Amino acid sequence: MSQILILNQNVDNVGVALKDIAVGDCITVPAQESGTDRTFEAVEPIPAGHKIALCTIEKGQAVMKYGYSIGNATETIRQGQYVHAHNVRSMRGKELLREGAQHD
Amino acid sequence: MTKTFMGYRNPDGTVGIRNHIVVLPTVICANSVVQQIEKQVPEVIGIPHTHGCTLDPVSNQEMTAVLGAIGSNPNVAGIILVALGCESVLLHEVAEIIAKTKKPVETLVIQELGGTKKTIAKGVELAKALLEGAARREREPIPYSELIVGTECGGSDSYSGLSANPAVGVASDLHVDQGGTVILSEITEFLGAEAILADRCASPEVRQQLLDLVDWTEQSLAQLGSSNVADITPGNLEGGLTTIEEKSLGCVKKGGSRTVQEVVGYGQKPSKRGLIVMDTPGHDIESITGIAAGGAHLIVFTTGRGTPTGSPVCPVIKVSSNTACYQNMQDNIDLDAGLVITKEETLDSMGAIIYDEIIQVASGKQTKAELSGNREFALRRYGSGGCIIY
Repeated sequence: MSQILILNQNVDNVGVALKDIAVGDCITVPAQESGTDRTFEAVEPIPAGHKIALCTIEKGQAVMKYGYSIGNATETIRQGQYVHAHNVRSMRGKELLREGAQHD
Repeated sequence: MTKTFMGYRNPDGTVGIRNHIVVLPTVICANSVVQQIEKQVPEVIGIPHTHGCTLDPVSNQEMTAVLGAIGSNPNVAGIILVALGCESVLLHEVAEIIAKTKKPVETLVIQELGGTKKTIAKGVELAKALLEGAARREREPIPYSELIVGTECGGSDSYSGLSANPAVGVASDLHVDQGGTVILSEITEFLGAEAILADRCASPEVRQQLLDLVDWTEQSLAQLGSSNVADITPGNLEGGLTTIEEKSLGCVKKGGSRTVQEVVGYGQKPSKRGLIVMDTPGHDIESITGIAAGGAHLIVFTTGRGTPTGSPVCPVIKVSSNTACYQNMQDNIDLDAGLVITKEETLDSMGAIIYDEIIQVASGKQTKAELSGNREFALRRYGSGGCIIY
């Protein structure tokens, strides 16, 4: 079984761990069409079902999963880091009331 | 050749997949009578609840409509309504709604009959008579297209959007292609994914209704104040879901890929066939109560964390998103979509398994929730200013 699942290969910047990932585990992202496979190391432990950054996500940039935004990074996230509530902020629902929050 | 399951043809032309005799209080104050009738006549389905009396006209109107709609559900063969006598939900209004279905409706008023003992005795007599009548009914072949299938997710985790929900989406497409009806609900779980549904509405009017409903829901949610409490549950977070957007993108997969034909209100019966959106909150029990009130025959309910939830008149089929959940709560889960994660099934094959289960349950197979006697029931709650509490 592969280590991670990427829902939208073209757009997503996170993958879902299909089993617990340890620091130093080598993660392979299969190539798109004529490109080469990407490989990188997990720099934090990722629990099964949780998300790992596939590349750098800048502070304020959209975290993309399923080809859509699932919120914005609250700090710059490095490739291989754990992506969850500590570094992602929703842009919907109750977040509408927070200053500066707006959506399309 | 038309595919058929075995169901009951009702007097008003609708079909039922169960043949229930229900005892329903119009108000919490009548609960003890309902519970005693059920104790003495265990074959009936009692639905005690905490609603029925309020000074708020908006929720009073909705309570009346939804209690009437639950009694009208096509799986209910006959019903005894029990009132106290002074409540704001009026017995005759609820009875009139149900009477339109031409099923037997009996009424009892505790204050008129002179207390609980006499009401229980009369109720037991009526229950036995209604059961005798129901027992004479037989199942006959009914086209798949007459089935109304509700969908729900509860205790979602990160796997829900990868396995169980898209597999239910496959089953949803299979059913819509048969001419059937599927209800997609929980509008809080459209936030962040509404563009996907908006792109496939039957008309600009339906599209606008959908977007207006999402907007209204989001404004209501924002009014609930403090964003220290996330718009998703602690279990969702532990299960790897980070935001409502992420949860929603997984949840809307239950709706498959077919066109949204209609947007209906909470507990309202669809007027069209195909994929329908119903305005329900994310709260599992409040949502499935609304879906059952809308006339659904059964509900397919996906879960990642595991939940035993059932519904009094509407069989609930539980589908786990991961195998650990299925193995942990086998008393409460019917199917394991975790087989998609381990690649033992594809989404298409899992969808076919779910659809097959839907047809078997329609023809009489008991779900785990029915076997365990899980009959959760609750109407959605209103806060101040007509705001829904999610």
